[in-house]
This record gives sequence, C-alpha cells and structure tokens, in this order.
Amino acid sequence: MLAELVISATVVISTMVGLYSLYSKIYNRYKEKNLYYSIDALYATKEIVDVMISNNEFSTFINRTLSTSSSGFIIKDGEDESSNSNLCDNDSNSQCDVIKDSVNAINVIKDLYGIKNMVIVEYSLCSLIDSEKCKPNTENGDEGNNENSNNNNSLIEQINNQTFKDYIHYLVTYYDIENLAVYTDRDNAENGEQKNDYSYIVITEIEENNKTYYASMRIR
Amino acid sequence: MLVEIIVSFSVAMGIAFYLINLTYKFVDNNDIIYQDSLYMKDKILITKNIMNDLDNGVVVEISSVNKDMNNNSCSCEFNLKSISNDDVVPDDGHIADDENINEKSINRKLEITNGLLKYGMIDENGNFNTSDISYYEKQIESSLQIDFDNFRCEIKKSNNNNNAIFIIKIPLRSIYSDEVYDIKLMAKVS
Repeated sequence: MLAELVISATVVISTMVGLYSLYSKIYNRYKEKNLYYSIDALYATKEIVDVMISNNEFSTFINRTLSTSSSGFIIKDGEDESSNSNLCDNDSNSQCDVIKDSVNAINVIKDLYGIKNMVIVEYSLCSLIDSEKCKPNTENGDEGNNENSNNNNSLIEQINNQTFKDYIHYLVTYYDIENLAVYTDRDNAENGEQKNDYSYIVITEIEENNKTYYASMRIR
Repeated sequence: MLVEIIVSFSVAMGIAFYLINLTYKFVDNNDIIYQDSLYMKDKILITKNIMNDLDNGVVVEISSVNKDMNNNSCSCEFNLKSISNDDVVPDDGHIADDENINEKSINRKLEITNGLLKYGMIDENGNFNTSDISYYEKQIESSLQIDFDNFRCEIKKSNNNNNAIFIIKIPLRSIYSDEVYDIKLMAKVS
C-alpha cells in the first residue's frame, strides 16, 4: 500500500512540477514583454530624439560624444547630459538660447516619462557588451565604421544596474548583433553574417512603480 | 500495519498540502498577470491611437480643462494645427503664396466620462465628429480608477517660448493593487 502511494504520488508531483515549469516559462516571457517593450519608454526615446534633431543638437551630440567613445549618455541618472549648456551660463547669444530651450524641452519630457537613463551607442557587439570582441581589420587594412577603435569600455562595463545589463544582453540576442557585419559598406554577408543597416541604437530606461522599464530604437 | 497507515497518512497529507499551495500560487499569479495584461492593453491602445494624431500636428493653445469628480469626468480641449502634405486648392483655383496654406487648425478634445474615453475633432458645439479619422473611443477597464486630482493638461513653456511641450497625463490606479498605469501623451507646441 505504501509502495502504491509513493508511486502514484511521484507521478502526480512530476506532472505538477512539469506544468509549473511550463507556466514559469510563459510567465518569464510575459515579464520580458512587459519590461522590455514599454510604450512610455518607446515614445520617450522618439520624442527626445525628435527634439534634438529639430534643434540641430543630435548630430552635434554624436560628434561630440561618439568621436571619443562608443557610447554617449543623453540622460544619466535622471540628469540631462545632452548639450554643452554649461558653456552658456555667462553667454546670451541666440545659439545658447536654442540650446537652453532644447534642454528645457528634454527636461519636461524626462519628468513626464520618468526617464532614468538614455544612452546612444554604436550598433555593434564591441560597443554594447564586450570591447574585446571587436573584429580584426579586413585584409585591405580598412577600419570598420562600427569598430570600437578607440578601445573604450563597452556600455555594459559602464553601468552597475543588473536589470539594465540583462536588457542589453537581451538586445544583443534579439537583434542578433553578434552576427552583424562590422562594416556597413559590406554588401555580401560572409560566414552567415548579416549586413549592418544601422549605425546607432538608443536605449532608454524609465522608472515607474519602483520598477524599471526599457525600450530601444535603432538609427540608420 | 499501524505504522504503515501513519506514514502513508503523513505522506498523503504532505503531498496534498504541497499541491494546494502550488495551485493557490498558480491561480494568484495568473490573476495578477491577467489583470496586468488587461491594464497594459488599455494603456498601449489609448496611447498609440491618440499619439498617432498628436504626432501629426502642433498644439496652438489649450481652450479649456475641466475636472468634475461628482460626475466622474474630466476633459481637455485644445487647438491642434495639423500639418498636411496634401496640396490645398481653393474653390477659385488660385493658390495663394502662403506657407501656411497646408496647415489646418482644428479643435480637439479629450474627454473621460464614467470610464469611457473619447478623443477627436469637435465642432462649434463641442460635439465629437465621429466620422473623422482622429476620432477614438475606448472603455477603460472598470477596475482602473482615475485620479482626477492629478489629471494634467498643460503647456510647459521655456524661457523663449520655443520648444514648448504640451502634455496630458491621465493617472490610472488599479483598485486591486498600488500599481499605476498612467497614460502620458505629449505634443509639440507652435
């Protein structure tokens, strides 16, 4: 009788545990969709990039930050880092007025959506997760457009937040960045690599309900 | 035999307790996920449909903002200058040399009454034009409550009035938890 009980209990428990693990997989998938596809974070990204582009700040920001590093924080820890507004403190020319208005608009959007961090990164594996994984130069000796030639830390090495790091790993897997061609002018994929159509990716982290939500936008 | 009965009974009760506990966790998490997905669905649909219209124009001014907690309603009327790529040819066939000829300025209204959200173009009497492409209507989930005190519809200006931002924030709270599902909308200001 005891043996029968043990056998039937084992069967029932195994079935229940199997069902629970399936349920956990579905729950994790739902959690991933909920946290990584935030509509607020998506619109926050779009609107801030739009403001910067309309004020001719976007290309200036890229030239200023990404010429010496593979990533640049537009908003870091809730503070705006998008412009050289500190250079305008004692200046009142029209360009400074444009910069200050742009910063004001960005701060309004940042407060509305609760943006914690927004960063623009070169669209490459080196810049995102591992600066040592840069591909070597081609046989022609040309340097790739997206190569982390400045040997700066990758984005994941610059942040301490584990959920942010998880999201970056998720992006690398989701967009298959590991197999991207390093050079944007490469027409034919080699060894299964995809042609790289994008130059940068903007990653946004917002905070709501003491939880963080993420979204990203690729830029050609 | 007595020992067998006692041991079997103990094992059976232990397994029963474990199964009940597991089932309870299943149902509880399932309910939380179900409610959360309903709320997120409402939030995403409302945000997307209204922002599709706001992204195609610039706000000129806010006409009125009303909050009526007794009737469970709030509303915001504003003037939106819609930028159209279509050429506008007047009836006399003469196209004026005017850079604003393609910009149409239309009154818009966002209204929430008893959980029914309506957004779209309004006529002189304040009635919605339901045949217009901008019209959108959605019944918000009944277990979401609107925090009328914190309903916002305003223009945030800068020093030089450039890059002003029009924002609407509809605070929604679940009656089952402390989670918030605020709907946030924004547009540029001319």
